[in-house]
Amino acid sequence: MALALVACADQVGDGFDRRPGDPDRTPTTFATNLDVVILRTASSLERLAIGVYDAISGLGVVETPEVQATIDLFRNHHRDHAALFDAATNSIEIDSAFTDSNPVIAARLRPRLAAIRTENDALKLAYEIETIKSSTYFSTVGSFGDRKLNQAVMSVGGIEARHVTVLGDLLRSTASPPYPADGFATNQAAVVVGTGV
Amino acid sequence: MAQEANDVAPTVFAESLELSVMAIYVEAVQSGVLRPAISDVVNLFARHHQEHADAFGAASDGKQTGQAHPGVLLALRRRLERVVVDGEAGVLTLLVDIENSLAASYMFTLGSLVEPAAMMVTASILPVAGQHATVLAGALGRPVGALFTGAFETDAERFDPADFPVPTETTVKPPTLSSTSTTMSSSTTSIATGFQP
Repeated sequence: MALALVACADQVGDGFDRRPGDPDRTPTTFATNLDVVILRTASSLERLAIGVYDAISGLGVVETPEVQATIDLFRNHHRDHAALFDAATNSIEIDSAFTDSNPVIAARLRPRLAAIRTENDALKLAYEIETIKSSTYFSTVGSFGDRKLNQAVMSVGGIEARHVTVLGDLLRSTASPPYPADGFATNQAAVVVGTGV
Repeated sequence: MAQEANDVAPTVFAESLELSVMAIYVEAVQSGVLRPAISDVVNLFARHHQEHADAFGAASDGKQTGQAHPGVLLALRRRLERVVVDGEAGVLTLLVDIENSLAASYMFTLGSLVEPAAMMVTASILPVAGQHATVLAGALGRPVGALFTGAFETDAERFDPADFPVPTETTVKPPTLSSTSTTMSSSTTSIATGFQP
């Protein structure tokens, strides 16, 4: 049976410790509800993407109207995705949605963001983030206790894959293929569920 | 372990869908209205669809048919015949619609599948259908805003077996991939036209 990889208790605990709010919540509460862990991870990745697109827009490196239109559209998509994941989380455990950018992945990507000098640099980072997200959402399918969430996560995962294609086509590089050569999505770039949340 | 009975019918139908779509892709190339670069991509996508059919077949608990769905194939052939007079744009528009309908079909299926293995196969193919649609829509010169109908994949416009009655005439024979004359690249070819602002 396919199961999403779950971060160790330390990582789940770290995310909880930084979270303000209910003193009665414990890492165990989150760790025992995998659906909540997955959804919190998803929310964090959506907010990571929003933050990166905001940062890119503020750098002044985007020169092409088509690229700016792409960034604006994708950022709006990610806001809707975050809202979906937040609502799904809260419907399971009230006030449990993760409302920050994923701190672990953000720390990993911060040097890349700081190194952006050109529009192409920005597109490469956007491509990587969308690839991480589409791969992560695919990796969670089959792991949910509530089977309806498989549909929910792929309603987003499918769009992230389309984002990858748009960005890959803009980049026109063999390092950024617009679709998998063998025709199947993979979990190769997936974030371990629970990381940072 | 025997496949959940619930999962067999959708995966068998999916296998037949993929074989139907593969056949139409082959016939689209054979129509002669596609530029060489686009024919190459369409041929690659036809190969993907064959592999998708094989994957669904493997997940069908021995019930795979190895056959295109006669009703779907007939309906798609009739649409191809109508649009080929519009040249490349007409054919590509049809292929975009087909890919979007495939993605919608798999979104619908995910809502009913029980076995994680069947879910994973479906989820590994759903995003690629969307990526195919995005590539082909880009070849039509659609701007990024026109590449998405929204922030989420949906099951609207899916292939519903009830809409495709099996014709009474004898077996509708699809072409095979081996009948294509162009070589298919295993690389992820970006269509030269790219996306237009």
